[in-house]
Amino acid sequence: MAIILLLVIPIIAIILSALFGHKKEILEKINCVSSVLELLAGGYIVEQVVVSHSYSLFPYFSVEALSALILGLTVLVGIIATFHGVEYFELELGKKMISEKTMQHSYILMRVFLVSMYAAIVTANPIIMWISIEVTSLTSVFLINFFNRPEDLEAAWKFLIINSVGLLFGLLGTLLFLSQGEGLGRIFIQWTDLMSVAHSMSPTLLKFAYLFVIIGYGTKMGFVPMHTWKPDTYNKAPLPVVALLSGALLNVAFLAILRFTLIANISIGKAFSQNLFLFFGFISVTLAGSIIYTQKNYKRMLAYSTIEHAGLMLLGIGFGGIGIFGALLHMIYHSLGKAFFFLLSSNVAVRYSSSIIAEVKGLLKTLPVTGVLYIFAFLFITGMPPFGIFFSEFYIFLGGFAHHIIITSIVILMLIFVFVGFFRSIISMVFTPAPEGVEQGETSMWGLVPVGALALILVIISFYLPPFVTQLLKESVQTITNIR
Amino acid sequence: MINTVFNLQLLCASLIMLSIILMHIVKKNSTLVTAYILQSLGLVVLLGSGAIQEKSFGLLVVTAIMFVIKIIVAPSLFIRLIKKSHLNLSASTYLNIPLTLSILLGILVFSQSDILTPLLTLLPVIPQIKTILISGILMSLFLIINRKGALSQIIGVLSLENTIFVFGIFLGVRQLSALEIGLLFDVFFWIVVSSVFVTMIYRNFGSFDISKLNQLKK
Repeated sequence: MAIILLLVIPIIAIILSALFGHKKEILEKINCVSSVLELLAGGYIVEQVVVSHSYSLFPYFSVEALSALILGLTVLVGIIATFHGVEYFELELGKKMISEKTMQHSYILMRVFLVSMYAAIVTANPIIMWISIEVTSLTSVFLINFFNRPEDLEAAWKFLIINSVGLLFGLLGTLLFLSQGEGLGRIFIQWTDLMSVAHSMSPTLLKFAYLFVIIGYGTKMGFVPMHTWKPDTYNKAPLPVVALLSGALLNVAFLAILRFTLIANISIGKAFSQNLFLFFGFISVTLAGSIIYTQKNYKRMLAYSTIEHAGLMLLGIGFGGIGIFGALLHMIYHSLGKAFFFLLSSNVAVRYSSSIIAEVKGLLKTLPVTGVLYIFAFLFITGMPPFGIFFSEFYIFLGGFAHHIIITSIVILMLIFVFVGFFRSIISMVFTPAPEGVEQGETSMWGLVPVGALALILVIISFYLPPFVTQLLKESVQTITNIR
Repeated sequence: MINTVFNLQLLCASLIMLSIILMHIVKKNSTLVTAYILQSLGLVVLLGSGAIQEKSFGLLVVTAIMFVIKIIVAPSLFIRLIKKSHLNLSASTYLNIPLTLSILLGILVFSQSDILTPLLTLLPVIPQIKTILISGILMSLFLIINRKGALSQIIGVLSLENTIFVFGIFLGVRQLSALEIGLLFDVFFWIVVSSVFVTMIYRNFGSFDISKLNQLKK
């Protein structure tokens, strides 16, 4: 029932927004209430998984520890992005950067984007997952073109073509996997069905299928070399939407890859997927690290940081052992940490109307609270102790030092580059004199309450992981490790 | 009966292949759309013959929806776009025709290489169709890369999708009809969304030529 509610609530919000959304206040209320209800429904599903290890609406939907973890993150990032979006959209409307119609469309598209992510997570069927992820592309392409300027259109077009081609390869891989489940004699094949017959699948064929899946969903996750859409998209899309892309959609694509990995590993053995994870993870971290070092645009810097962290997650799974735990823990911290960073950046972007680092000065004067939180976000996302990402990276590298000492050492070196790159930019943005003509002081509480809440969550989970999160993490690791 | 089915399969696969080659060499946008109609027709006939052979009502419905989306709706949208913009001559390719044809030939040779044998052995069809399927996917991908026109890129993506659908048909992957219809609706929305974007590209840049989209580099 909760799964149905999770999917129906945003659909109702979409209909109401379309019917009554011409008034800004009503539109905001509909979407905020919807996000709260989605959080409650999602929270209930997570709680049920904690109690009974799985929650399903047979045969169409099924949630287990790993998907519950990702669902929890998605509803959390969803509510924070929605509440923060209220302030963001109002400010852009006030600056006449968008019309009320654009605002209405953006709210509707954000809910479609969220409901398709929920569907992708809770579905038991690989084709529905593919369709849902494709829907996220179709909705986000309009959101990327939010300001409707030529450069936004260009970024949106690039996103559409690259993601569509990538996802078509994902579909090809999915069909190849499904062709191996033919013996089941079913026309609604579930993930668990494929796993039950995985041992009898053709290993050579699965290698091809798995490669296509990695290319397909890897494009959505945005790891190198399928990352090229990411910096432009993150630079041009409204930042609450980018928070969703980076903090939620990345995990959904990661879930798709992991689900296929579990099936492939039974047939092919772990070495094949492990080597692919190590390869893509390594090139993602090294390329992103070197670009962050020289980056002049803070939104693009955060985009490359997302690529770097996606690479670290892949490396963790590729290293195996404690690295798997590290990768999943990293997914949690990155998801919330990066959403936090992007939402703060939206405050900066609205105030300075620029994404160029050199044009943003004196953040501590112009936006005092955002400025302080920006320093915290920087320390958190670059993995400084005592914050969460330090520990998740520590576990990933612990896994890496066991068997892949050279790769691990190079990656650590690259993280130093990342830190220095971020450090230079943040110092220049925060600790410099404020330029003349830029308004000083925070705009309103709405822009700070959601990010403040997220900051609090980040501090708490850095030092204390709630028992239910630990349990879900352990069960997820167990699922991956047993098959590996 | 078996011979007829094989001949029909070969005919449809050949039609799909020829349409992709045509897409690579034509200069007019309207001919490009015609090539896409031919290709989709091959796919629809292939799916329809399967539906009749299996006596599956569900598959017949899927075929009918596919016919409407791919042969009626999508081409009409594209033709309207071309008429509205008065841009019947498509943007050029990055490579000239001889080089393009050489690469197509290379793809054809590669499609018969040993490296793809495990993938090809799975398909319960004659070797010629296997080669057509693999090269069809690669040639469609090359079409997206090589063409400068936004409309050509859309048709490239749709051609890639058609060849993947054909691949699925020959693999014998059967899903719940509702899911197959879901996939088709997804395709339909993709076509609508991409057409909207092509219109916006024309409005902003006065052309379908995506090589003029260079604002991000500034």
